[in-house]
Amino acid sequence: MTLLRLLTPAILALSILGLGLPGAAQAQDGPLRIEITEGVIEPLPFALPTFIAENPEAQEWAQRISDVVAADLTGTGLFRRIPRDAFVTDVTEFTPSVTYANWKAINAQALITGAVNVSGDQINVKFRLFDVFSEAPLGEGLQFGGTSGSWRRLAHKVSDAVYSRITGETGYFDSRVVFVSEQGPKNERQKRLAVMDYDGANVQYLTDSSSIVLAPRFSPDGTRVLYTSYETGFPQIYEMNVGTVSRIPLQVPAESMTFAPRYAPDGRTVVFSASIGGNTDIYAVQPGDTPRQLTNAPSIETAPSYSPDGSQIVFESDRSGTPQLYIMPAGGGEPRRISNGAGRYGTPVWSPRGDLIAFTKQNAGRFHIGVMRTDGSEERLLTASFLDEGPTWAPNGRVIMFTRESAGAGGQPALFSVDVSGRNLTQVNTPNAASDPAWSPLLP
Amino acid sequence: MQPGTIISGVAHTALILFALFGGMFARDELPPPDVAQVTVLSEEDFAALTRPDVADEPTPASEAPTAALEIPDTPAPEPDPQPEPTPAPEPTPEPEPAPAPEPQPDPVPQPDPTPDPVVEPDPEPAPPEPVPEAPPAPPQPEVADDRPVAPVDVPRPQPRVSTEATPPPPPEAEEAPEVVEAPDPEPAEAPEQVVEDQTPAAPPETAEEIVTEAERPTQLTNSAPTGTPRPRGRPERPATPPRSEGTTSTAASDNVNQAAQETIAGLQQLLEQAPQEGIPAGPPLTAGEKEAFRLAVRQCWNVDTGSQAANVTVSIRFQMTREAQVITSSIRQTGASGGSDAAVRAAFDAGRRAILRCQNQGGGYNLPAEKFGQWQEVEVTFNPEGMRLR
Repeated sequence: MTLLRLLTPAILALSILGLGLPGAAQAQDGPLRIEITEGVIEPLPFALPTFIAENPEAQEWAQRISDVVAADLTGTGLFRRIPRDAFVTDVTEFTPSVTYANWKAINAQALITGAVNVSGDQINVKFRLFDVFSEAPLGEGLQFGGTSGSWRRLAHKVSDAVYSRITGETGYFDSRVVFVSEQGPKNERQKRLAVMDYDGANVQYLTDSSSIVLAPRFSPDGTRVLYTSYETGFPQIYEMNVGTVSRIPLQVPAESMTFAPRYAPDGRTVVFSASIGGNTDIYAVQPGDTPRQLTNAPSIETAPSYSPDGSQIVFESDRSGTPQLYIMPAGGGEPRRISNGAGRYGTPVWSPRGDLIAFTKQNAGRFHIGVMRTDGSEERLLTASFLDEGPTWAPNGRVIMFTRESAGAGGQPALFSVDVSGRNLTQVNTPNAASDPAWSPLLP
Repeated sequence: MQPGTIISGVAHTALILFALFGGMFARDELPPPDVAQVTVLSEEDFAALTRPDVADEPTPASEAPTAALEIPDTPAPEPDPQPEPTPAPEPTPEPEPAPAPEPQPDPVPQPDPTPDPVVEPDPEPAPPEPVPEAPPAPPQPEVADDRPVAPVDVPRPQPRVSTEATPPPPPEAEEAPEVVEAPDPEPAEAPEQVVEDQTPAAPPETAEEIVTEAERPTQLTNSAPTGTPRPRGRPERPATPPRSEGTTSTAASDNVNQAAQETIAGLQQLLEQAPQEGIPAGPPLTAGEKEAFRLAVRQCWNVDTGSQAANVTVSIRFQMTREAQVITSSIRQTGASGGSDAAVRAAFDAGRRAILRCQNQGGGYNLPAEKFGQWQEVEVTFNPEGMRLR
């Protein structure tokens, strides 16, 4: 009883404490915490006033470069350019400070300012990127210089820098694509090797239309191209120097048909398919060396592609009865199947990131471009059409370019690109029909 | 089975005993006066002789059993009643009640007074000495009728009586003093109890309110309020060393009360100062308010599902003004998982943009101003788990 009497006041005090200070007790636990697991997917609005021409000669170039930068960014589907008509004010000076309120007013989340200076044939471009709502610059200003003939690359460089600062990933605008340009009716189609900017500009032809060419592939450094030519009447692999347009045949087994070449990450080893005695297997060869057979099966093994680290090869094989995807060690060995869905799988390509494998899938009378994890899981089909095939990865592993051919006798192949998320499917403008695209690495 | 058997056996045994020692035999014995033996007399003589005899016999027969039954009942629980008449047994029980006011010792002396009136008639029937046998069974039923009133009342008067009885022991106190030692331990425990103060004032057993539990709480509640208004301040404590002999218990309780008062006063001050110091005040945000805030930020969180930043979970902490406007300079990253440094930076930038963009064109979020303390500082975890490409 005595104890009870002594404790009673303390209990009363504690009860009062509990009733009177609930908020304080909670507040001491820390800040208000919330978790957001879903957001929105929408293009990020940005303002890009025409770059300032620092001299009269730069006026035209400033406009062109500004337009290319804007086109690069909006072409990704991740950005939306705010029309100039909506601007509250314009930028007349290339200064490190801006009036953020004016850009907040039009809901611009990013502001890109720049200036162009032309001196003879030399063009200098500098730019700054601002995070409007944070009211702070995103990185420091950068400047690029080049000749007037490379003005597009200057613009792409600016775009890559902006893209990288906002998304945290490297860009892919300053890159090139080699492809097969096609002309003429289907039964008499003329094919030529061609190279262009990633956006279809600056098309240059590497071969004439005297012979059929197929499956060009860029070297890791972007200076060479492997391709298959029917110049001799049989499919034969050649390596071409893009700078000099000179070519040499690949050392392959005699009396064999070789095709589907691709460089290893080291840039020296070439892996390809060779049909010898009616059986097609995968081989690897280095300059001055004899080819080494990596597979040995009665089935058709083809379309090999190295993993970014060069340790594995993904390829296509019909050893199970239908074309499926397999992975084996780079030096050959027991392959494991990774495709398990319905339909036929082919032309696998390992992503530069190393996390995904793009492929062509034929199922239920339609073709798809899809991606899956390297273990075959999480397969996602990004496209569907009468004929989609031949995927190639952008240097940053974010975009896939492929060939789409329309149905009918007058059907023409064309190049399309799609974001790895399956969004932003767009056609790449080429002067003629095009197929078999292969993306180059990001140019230096 | 066994319990039932036992109960049955006991019941039957009791029945048999009742049959054997109950009124059955008594009644049987009554007839023995066998009138048949008187047949030698004449009718007149017989009639004359028989009348007085019959009249005498029935009275004792009817009364004797009742009296005999009642007497043994009361003394039955305590065989002492009989010896009581003798002075010797009394002293022994008395010392016990004196030291401990508890009921145990009391009942012993109690029976004495109560039975006394009845006991007197007992001795008379006692000579026949059916007493030992009769006491157990028959008394209970009849006594029960009388007791319902007596037993309850009896114990109460006992203490009162006991107090009166206590005086007699003093003469024998020579022996009592030893037993009296018992009271010593009581004071040792008692000092702490404040309520006990009253008990010592009055004779121990006189307290009719033996049910002290009912009184104590009332006294405590009365003392508590009186204590609250008292000034706080510990320095006074040492100043009050003068502990009155019997008031030690009250002093202890006062100290406890003072401590409690100080605590309460401190908490009250804290409550009053809370809003001034910016410490969170008011009730916590309701689930709806919290959800509304979450949705407000969410609608501005632009997720690039194809980027590596979509694999990054980033936590961003920031502070807000009373107008629910984000203090831009307070935005900082408190945690991140998954992805490269560049991806983490991109995820943080996306989260920061979301936080800054959706505050109503800079006018601040819609948050209850009275709960400012609850949302003065916020930590938002942007987890794109639900949006990752699969």
